[in-house]
Amino acid sequence: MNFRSVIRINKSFSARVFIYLSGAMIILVSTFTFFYLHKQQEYLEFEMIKDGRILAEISANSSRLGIFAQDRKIISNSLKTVVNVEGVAGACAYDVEGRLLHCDTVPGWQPEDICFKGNSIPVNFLPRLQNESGVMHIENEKSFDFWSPVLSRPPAYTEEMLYYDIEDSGHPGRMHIIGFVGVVMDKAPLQRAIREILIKNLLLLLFFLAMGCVATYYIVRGVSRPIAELVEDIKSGPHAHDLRLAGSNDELGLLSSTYSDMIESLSNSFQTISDLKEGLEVKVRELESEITKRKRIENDLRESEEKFRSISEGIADGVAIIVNGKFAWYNRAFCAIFGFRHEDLHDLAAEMLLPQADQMQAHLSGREVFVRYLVEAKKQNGSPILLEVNAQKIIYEGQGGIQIILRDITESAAAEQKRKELEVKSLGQSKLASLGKIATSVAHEINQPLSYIKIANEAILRDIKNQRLDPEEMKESCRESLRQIDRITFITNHLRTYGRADTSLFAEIRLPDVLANSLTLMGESLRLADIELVRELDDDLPPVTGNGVKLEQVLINLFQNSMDALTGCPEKKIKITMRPAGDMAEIVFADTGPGIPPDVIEHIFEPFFTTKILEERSGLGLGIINSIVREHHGTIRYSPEEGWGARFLISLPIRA
Amino acid sequence: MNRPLFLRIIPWAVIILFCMQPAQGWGGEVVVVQSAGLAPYNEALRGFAHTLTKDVPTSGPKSIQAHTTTSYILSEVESPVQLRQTLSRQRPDLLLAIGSSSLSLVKDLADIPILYLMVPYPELVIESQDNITGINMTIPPSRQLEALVRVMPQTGTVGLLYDPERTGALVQEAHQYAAQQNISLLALPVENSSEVPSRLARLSGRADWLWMLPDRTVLTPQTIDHIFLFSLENRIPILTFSDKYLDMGAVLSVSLDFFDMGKQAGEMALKVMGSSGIADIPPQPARNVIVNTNKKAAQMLGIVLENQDGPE
Repeated sequence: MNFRSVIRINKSFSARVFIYLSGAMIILVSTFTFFYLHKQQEYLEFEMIKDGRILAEISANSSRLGIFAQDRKIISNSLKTVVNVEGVAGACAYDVEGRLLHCDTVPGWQPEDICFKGNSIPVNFLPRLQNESGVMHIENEKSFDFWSPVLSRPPAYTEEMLYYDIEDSGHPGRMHIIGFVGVVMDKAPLQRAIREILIKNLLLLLFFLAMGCVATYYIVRGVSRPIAELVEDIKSGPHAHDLRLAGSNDELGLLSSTYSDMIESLSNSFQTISDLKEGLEVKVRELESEITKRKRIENDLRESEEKFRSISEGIADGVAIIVNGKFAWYNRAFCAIFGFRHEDLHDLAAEMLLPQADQMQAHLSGREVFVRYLVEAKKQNGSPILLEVNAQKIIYEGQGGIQIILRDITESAAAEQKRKELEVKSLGQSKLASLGKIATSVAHEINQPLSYIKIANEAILRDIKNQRLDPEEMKESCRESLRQIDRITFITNHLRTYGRADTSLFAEIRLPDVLANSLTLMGESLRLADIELVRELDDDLPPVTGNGVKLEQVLINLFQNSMDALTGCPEKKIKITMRPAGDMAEIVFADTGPGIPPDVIEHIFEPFFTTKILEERSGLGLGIINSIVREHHGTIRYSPEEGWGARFLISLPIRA
Repeated sequence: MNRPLFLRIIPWAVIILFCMQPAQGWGGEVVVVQSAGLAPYNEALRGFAHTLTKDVPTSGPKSIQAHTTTSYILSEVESPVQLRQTLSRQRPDLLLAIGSSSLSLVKDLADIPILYLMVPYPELVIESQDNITGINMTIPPSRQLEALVRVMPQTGTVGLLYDPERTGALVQEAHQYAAQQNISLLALPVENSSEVPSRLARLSGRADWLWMLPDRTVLTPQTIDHIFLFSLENRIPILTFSDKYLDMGAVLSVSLDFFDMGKQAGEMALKVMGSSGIADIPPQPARNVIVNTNKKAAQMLGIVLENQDGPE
């Protein structure tokens, strides 16, 4: 910093700092000086007043006797001491009625300058003095006047008090005024002292300001030098490594380091900007492509929505969206199912149409995302309808809701019911048909034990007639007869069970037992038909859950079909295989018949389909079999194999 | 009916013997009314009680019952008037009034014997009454001048200020004794306290001693400091009547012995409650004085005291 730079304030930071500091210093020092002067003046006045009060009190005390005795000589002696004090212009004493007793002045002051005119205290001023308990001072143009009452104890001495002190006994004498003294302090010494202090302080102020400015100049120059160096470095160019202060540890060093970092950051930023600029067009193109893509997606979405609406409106199922318990959206079919017009359902509470709406909401509020219900509802005209309702959680217009798809299954349910009834009826018919076929077999089966019983009884009667009855032989014949009767009983009981209508009981059953039971009814027929039966039964085959009678009917139907098919065949053989296959039990039923023509294979499990002459078969056989197997959650398929005619593979779940 | 002679003599002998049995003396009831609880009053009361209980036989054929003493401190009594009424009803055998206030309160109880004590000027409180007597506080001038001559035999002129109305008689008596002792008495009358400074100025250079009398006109709060200042400035020692002025600068004091005054009053009380009537016992001056000197004050004033044996 030089003085030239001081002049160029706008261009020099250090010059501004110098000006600011100097200005602040001048303001502070001036303020402090004037404040100090003011306080000094107050202090001098305070001291003068204090001195005056003390002198007045001293005068009052010392002149008490003189005023009491009204002895001017004593008063003069008392006041002289006070008057001789520097700064005192004079003193005067008055009696209690305000009459002047004595007045003493210093040279240059006249008694009339000090005492009241007429040598007595003015009437209007006397009460003020009498009421004043201490020293009172009055400031005049040339002086301070101090007035003090002269107090004395009353001459209230008792005779006893002459001999001993009795003031401690609670009878202190009350002070009373016996006169007044006035002490006049000349203001001239005070004003002189103030002037001297003012001059001294102003000179000191000027001196300190000058010294302060010089000191400030050098301080600012010293402080601003590193900044100037830094500025010069910066001016020379953005070369961070050239900064002279970059290595120092103070604030300027930090500033330099920061500047260097900033320059480096700027360079990096410029490089980044350049890179960004280059890549910006690519990104713009990518963005445009992205926008185009998004527009296409939006179009697709719109089209999808249109399709959805179109589909939703076109399908026969009712579709609706429930938000906050009300129908937010629904298609025409939904309105049609309930018999409402489209506008009637707007904002209608879902519960009005679907009593289970709350239940659906409750289910879907948990982990369930999809629920299915059969709902009995009513149409607008009050007629009941049966609905199959599929509900799932969706987000609709930012809110959680339920989408329901419902189908009026009132008619299909009725049809299903009819179908079931027909199926049951068919089952019965099938059984009756089977019974017709197996009647011969059963009759032959029963006939054998009956023949044995007849022969045995005839032999017994013959032995009785010939009187050659052997009790042991007879006992053995009876036992055998009873066994044959048990056999007949078993067959008839089984026949009765097979023909029973109630066949809905499911239990754990073994498939070999089912086969044995079916052979009970069909075995004799097979033998009469000269059909060889081959059984391959796996000992480890676990039981299945099912209805033994129905499964027995499956086998009987298959046996009957095979017997029909094997009629006239050179080789008459039926092979039954029962084996486990994973969690399924497999039954392979094969015969050596002609098999099923390929063109009808896909229809063989349809009800009432048959390839036989109408009079021979009802066409219910494989249809019934299919129905029973499905009822057992199993499958049946036609599985031809080389060397065999018809071959069926039945799979039943183990413990379904 | 003739009974034997000895039977006729016995009853009369019993009656005669009973009558010959010396009767026990009855103790008097004394009430003390004290103006205040000041130390001098307590000292005097202690002397009084000392005398009343001293040498009194309380057993044997000549025993007497101890006197009962009831004390009141007037400054602590709520209602002095009520106290006076109580005393009037109580009618004690003797009433001791200590201090002027006490005497003023009880002086009208004409049917009760009253002794006063520590009353400086009883004539200002009471008139001549038959039921009142006591110990005066006036120290005879002869005693004071005697003490002065003792410590300073070469005393020439003794100056004093006095109010003729208060201490005129005392000054008159002093003149007589001073003449006997070849002492010149310069007595200046003062009618008003404000005259004291000017009168004192007239003693300057003329008196060897300044005699301070118990005069309320001369000794006021305004003048007392000036008197001692005068003494110091003019090197005139002060002879005074109370110890309390020694501390203020007096050189010699001839003061009253309050304890002895109490004893003196006690003796007087015994007489009053005894055979003598109170009307026959006139007031008596204090019989004993105490002489004290202030050696420091004497030293400051540059005088040498002789035959001094008092405290410093």
